[in-house]
Amino acid sequence: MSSTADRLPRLLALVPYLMSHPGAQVDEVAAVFGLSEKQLIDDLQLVWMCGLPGHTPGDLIDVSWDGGEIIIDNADTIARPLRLGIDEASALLVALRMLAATPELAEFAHGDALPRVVAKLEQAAGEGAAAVSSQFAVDVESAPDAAARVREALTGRRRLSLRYYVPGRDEVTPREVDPTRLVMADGRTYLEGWCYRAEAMRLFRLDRMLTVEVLDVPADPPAGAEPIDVTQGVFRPSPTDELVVLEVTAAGRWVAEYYPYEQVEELGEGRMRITLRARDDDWTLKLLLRLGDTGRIVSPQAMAAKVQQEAERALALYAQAS
Amino acid sequence: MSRRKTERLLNLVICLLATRRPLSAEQIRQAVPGYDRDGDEAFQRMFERDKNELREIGIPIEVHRDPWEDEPGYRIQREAYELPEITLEPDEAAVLGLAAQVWQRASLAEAASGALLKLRAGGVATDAGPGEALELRVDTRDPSFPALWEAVRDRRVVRFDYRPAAGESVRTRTVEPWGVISRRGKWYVAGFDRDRQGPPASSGSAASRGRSPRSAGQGWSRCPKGSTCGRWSASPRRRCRSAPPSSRYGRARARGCGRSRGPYARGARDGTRWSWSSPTPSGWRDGSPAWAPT
Repeated sequence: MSSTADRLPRLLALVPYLMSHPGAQVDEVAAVFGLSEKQLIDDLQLVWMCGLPGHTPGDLIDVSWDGGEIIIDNADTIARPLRLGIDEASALLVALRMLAATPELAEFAHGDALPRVVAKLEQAAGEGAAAVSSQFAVDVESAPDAAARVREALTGRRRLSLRYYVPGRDEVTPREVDPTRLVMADGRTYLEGWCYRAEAMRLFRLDRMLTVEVLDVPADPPAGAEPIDVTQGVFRPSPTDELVVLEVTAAGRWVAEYYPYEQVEELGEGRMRITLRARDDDWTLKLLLRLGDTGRIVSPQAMAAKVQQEAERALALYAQAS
Repeated sequence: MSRRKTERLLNLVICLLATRRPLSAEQIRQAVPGYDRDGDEAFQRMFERDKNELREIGIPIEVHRDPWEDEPGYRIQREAYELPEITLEPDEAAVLGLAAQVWQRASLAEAASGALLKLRAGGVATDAGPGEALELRVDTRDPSFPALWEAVRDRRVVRFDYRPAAGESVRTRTVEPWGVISRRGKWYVAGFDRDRQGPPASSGSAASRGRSPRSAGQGWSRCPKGSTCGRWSASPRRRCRSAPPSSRYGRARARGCGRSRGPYARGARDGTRWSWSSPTPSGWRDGSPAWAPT
């Protein structure tokens, strides 16, 4: 909130903040409002020039910041902040309802406080925000069985032993994980942690944990373990993964909506050429079998033969049956 | 916004809040520094712009038209302006901090942090939430999201080009948006498709796809409190049954923008394009604004 267009709304929040926090320190207030100390002093100087009509010294707002301690006076007209806008209140209400609808997150977040906050916020915001926010919903898939133990391990800083399903290879692998965070992204909940099998930070989907056991071992992830950046989505191919080129019909366009790609090219009649990075051959093979007659592989050439072979193997099952 | 203008607007807000009687434009011109130097016409233009800017940030300026006066009067009612008293227990403050975190770096981030700032300014202790042990992220990079948010908020009809999941043809849809839901990271809009309305017997094509409207829906006005469309939690398909009649779900094109993430990263293509349809017919936009613009 530092651009000049935001300045008036900021001042209308700053004055009430200073009124309700008498003696607040310049550096603290600057941090709350996301400003430098210099910007904050500039705001205070501006406020000091304003006041009631007449603009005699008795009408103007009185502000001082001697020794870094801010004292404000004679600002009763704008002593309360502006009420919440519909966007502001709705953004919070939609998020609160999402938490309330997802038990594993709700418990992490003092679940019993949720309905109280929603009620208070709805009351403060008025009918408009309540109506708008009820028309937006974020659906989070629930995995309550695993969630309780994952939460226990996170709060108690204990190591977890998992049996984890990997659909790409269709196998269940045992893992020991030092949990670091619970991450909700793309409508699913994940445990982030140091995986001793991979010797790296990994995200584990809670609904793919077949068993979860809290071990009597303190969690001790390596000091250099970096959190995984999920701002661009959970699934991000590595730049070293192999490039695959597909051609799909209109019915296969969903590939470009579901997977991150490097390039797409329209071929007319709804057909599309998609270049993406595949994590391994198995993934590519499964994608192509799933596409059936709605997509084919252009490169690498070697994959075409593999797909053909797999498709024939599947067909052979029906040849025997009939 | 220049410093002089910010000063003038702040003085205008204080002036309109402080007055008991509505003030005419001329009285405001005399009372608020910054207006006095200009000629009549320049002042009128400046005052109009200032009023609009204050309304844009949510300041409710009341207009009074007294039959005995030639000029309208203006003021801001304190009760309409001020954030009502609100107090939060520590656990409630923690939850609120967590809720604001959901929109980090999303299109609602500014709205959420603005709300927290106002609450803090009102003396509410808000908390940063449980900190690093929990990260919540809802993706609003879908280029359709801001348009849909506004359409639902302002109760407006949307028009967009839409390609069905397996179809070749792109058709323009005109939809009264009832609601928007994120499922597995993708946004869907549910609403009444105006082009397909009509008695159910005639909607053959929709019926053959198994999503036939049961009855012809009229322009939907407002989701009644506690009604089914206000409490969606199931999947879009399943929700079809509990949503208002004739509901139709369209995938808002997802995963669009950002670095090589989706079709929109490549510029224009025959995907979804949003535009407002106007004017909105009667019966649709019945939510009257809290104050009437002049």
